[in-house]
Amino acid sequence: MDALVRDLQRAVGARYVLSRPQELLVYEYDGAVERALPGVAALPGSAEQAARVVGIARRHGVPVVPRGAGTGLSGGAIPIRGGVLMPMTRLNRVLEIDAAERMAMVEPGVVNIDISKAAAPYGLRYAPDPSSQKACTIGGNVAENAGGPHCLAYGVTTNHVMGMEVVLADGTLAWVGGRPHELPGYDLRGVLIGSEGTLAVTTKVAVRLQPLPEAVTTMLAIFRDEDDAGAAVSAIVGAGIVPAAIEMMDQLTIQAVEPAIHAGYPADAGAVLLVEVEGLREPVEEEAEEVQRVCLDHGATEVRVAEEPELRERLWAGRKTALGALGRLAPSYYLLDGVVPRTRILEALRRIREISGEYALPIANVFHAGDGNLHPCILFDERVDDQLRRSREAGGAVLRTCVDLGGALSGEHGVGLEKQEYMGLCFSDADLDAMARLNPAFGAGDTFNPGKVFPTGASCVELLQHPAVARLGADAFV
Amino acid sequence: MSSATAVAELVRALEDAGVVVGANPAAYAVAGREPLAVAYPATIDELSAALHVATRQDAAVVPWGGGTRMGLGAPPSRYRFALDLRGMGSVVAHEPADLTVTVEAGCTIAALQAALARAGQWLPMDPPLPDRATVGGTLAAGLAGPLGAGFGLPRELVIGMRAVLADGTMVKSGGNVVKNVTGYAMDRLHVGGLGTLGVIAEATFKILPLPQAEATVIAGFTTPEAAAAACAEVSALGLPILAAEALAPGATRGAVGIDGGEWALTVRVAGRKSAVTRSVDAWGPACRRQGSAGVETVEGEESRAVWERVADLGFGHGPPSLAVRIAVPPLRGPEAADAARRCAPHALVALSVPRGVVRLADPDGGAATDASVASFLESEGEGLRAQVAAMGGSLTIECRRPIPDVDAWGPPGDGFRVMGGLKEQYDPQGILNPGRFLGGL
Repeated sequence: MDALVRDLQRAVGARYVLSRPQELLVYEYDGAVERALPGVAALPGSAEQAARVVGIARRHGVPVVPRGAGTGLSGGAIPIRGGVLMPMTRLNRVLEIDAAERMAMVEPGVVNIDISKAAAPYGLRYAPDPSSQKACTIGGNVAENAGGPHCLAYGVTTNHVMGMEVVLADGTLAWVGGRPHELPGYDLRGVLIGSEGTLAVTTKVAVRLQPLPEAVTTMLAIFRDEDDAGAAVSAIVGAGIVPAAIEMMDQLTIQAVEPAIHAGYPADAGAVLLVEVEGLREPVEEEAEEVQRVCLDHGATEVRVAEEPELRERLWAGRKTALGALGRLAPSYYLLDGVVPRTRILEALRRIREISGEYALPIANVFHAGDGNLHPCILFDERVDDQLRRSREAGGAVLRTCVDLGGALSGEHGVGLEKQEYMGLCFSDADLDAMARLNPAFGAGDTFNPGKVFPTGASCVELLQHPAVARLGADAFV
Repeated sequence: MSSATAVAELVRALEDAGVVVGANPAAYAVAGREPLAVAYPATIDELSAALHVATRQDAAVVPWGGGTRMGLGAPPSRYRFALDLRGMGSVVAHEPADLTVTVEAGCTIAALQAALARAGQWLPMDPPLPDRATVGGTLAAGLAGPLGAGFGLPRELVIGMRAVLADGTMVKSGGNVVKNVTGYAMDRLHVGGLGTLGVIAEATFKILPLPQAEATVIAGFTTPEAAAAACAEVSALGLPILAAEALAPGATRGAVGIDGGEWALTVRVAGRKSAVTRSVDAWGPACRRQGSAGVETVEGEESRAVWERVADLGFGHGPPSLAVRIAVPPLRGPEAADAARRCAPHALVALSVPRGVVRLADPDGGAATDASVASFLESEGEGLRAQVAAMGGSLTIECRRPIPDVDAWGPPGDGFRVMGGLKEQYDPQGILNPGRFLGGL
């Protein structure tokens, strides 16, 4: 280990290599799931230094785990096999905004919202907006193919990244994708985005920017029950409207949120929909009117409308603080990320209610209704009885339900450690084998983030010894 | 083994595997090379069986859709049988309320659009010759038509895929949901992979409601730079653009019925009626400020017809004898379009202004000899490919008679070693479109 530390110190500078356990504690966990201490952390100050770190780790036969802000919710940044943790946070410069070409060149440690802030003077923004956007980094977004509320209209990270500079396992730098809109060859860019840091490490990202909308209208519709709200979602889409976002909160979430933000949700509110439409002024006005009418036709008791940024922000407040507010209801939660076709949302919610009953654990739902991305949040107290075990089992049942309804395990959080044992629900052995062959194609071996994404064959009993438990805090996002 | 014995053995093996085999190999020639036989799988299982035979017999395969893109890429280094996927042509599932559709690879783009239109929806994808072009072929080529300006490359619309690997293994990735990060994005290998890592059997797309209204604005300019300046002015207003092509003099007659020496900026706007009206109203003054004498607007059906012709540029009567595609950083687009026009003054040239993609097509080959084509493309330092490379872009030959000594793709860049690794992993025997892709993959 001493030789490794010495080599890393030479590569990135002594003050950017951390090897004492107390220094490393901060890198032991991310936004959820398990904990593991890295052997050493090295913070590169340039792409070339990152490449050198990878080369050194390879020579010493230890893995490299890249890390952004550590907001990930599937354990992607946890160094379960030790080795070198490589936080990319020093690489935090916006290198270029090309307003005419609508492109920003940024380093991987740039915080998501800072791209939009840098682009705002040019009337532009970066569209994907994970709820953690004030903390999460673009490098982490690329690794996880992050989504966000506004991905309904605009797509996820992969639809907005034009190219990346990456470090390959042999310690060389390479560009994948780039500024021209078409490039001959396989789409290595597309394969690497969402590969959860297992195939390469991103050192620069070229992202596409889009014009800020001329008008935005946010609507908050209050319903007596989930079924009405769910039917309204289908009816909005059925009317030919694709809003920028459609978010939903269920009764349990509303009850948690109300004391926290005093939004004035009625005590009997069974579900709340947040719908945002944006674009040119005239069509936005028309679509907002149609959305209001559809909601009222489907049993909304009230629709609040806001056009000014401050008022819109207030309507969003309940949604954005929902996860933190749920902390008032139970000491621990297990947050899921299943996704179903949007026409099956009501069935999924009904089944989740049944699962909640079967396992005698409350499950709150706050989610991206427009694209069927559910975030069931199982509330429990790990100190009580077998609640921890039951929460895991209930989570498994929810994921199975999502797959049975034609959906998938993860809409935006990634597989990581949390869902790797469930991959068999979605994919055959042949599918997984084909995915696994990307590793030798990239020459990755065990160099990057080993032990993630693919099933390890751990039994349920073993799984239970590694509780996927998140501590609640104000910095929890979904 | 004599050729007749080889044919008989291959045909028997395919028929034993339950695959219909045809004997019209001349219709499936690629760059002058004919296969020994043609297989017509009607299901993904038959496709799998056919590829299993191919692997067992080490028989190289060229997958076929409608044949509109067979000019793309280098000649195959080996070619035993053609795999015609048009027997797999159904729409498997269309959920209008989910805005998703799953369709077999052999379905034509036009048939898919017709099925979607019945539910008031569309897939915003416009390859040339949509009556012949198939979903699988369009994805394998991976190239966008004019609608790429508004909706990106075909890969942006794919949310799930079933493909068959070289050894017959059936694999799936993604699913039916519009947002999904479960597992690696394997479909990205096949979209734009020209069938060299696997054969696309079925794809699931996210789709959109048909726009309420659409219009096309046409304005004449003396240079593509002026047309691009008008585009920049309008797009700074945040007005949505589905497509914006600067058609070079010569390309204007067929596409928009204009003769003369001017470039025609042709812009497609669509959406709610109020949005279309706003956009059309903004284009007129912007174009005049950039020196355009007059702006013409067509709407509805007439507008759609314009875009069928623009998408077909040079392909109207089938694939042209020469088509070249250039992609540069978008701001260099006008420069690349000028260069293309200087190099081939008689060809049809169109520039997608927002994308920096230039299409050049010469439907009848004109008087160009192979040698002159080779020289305008590749002569050192001054050929079109060298000029494009200096702009930070690439030049691909989309369609041509075989021209010796001209590389279809140009030099591979960064990451080519990984691309070779992919081929090694997914098609180690080299039976899928061997030799046709970038760098001889």
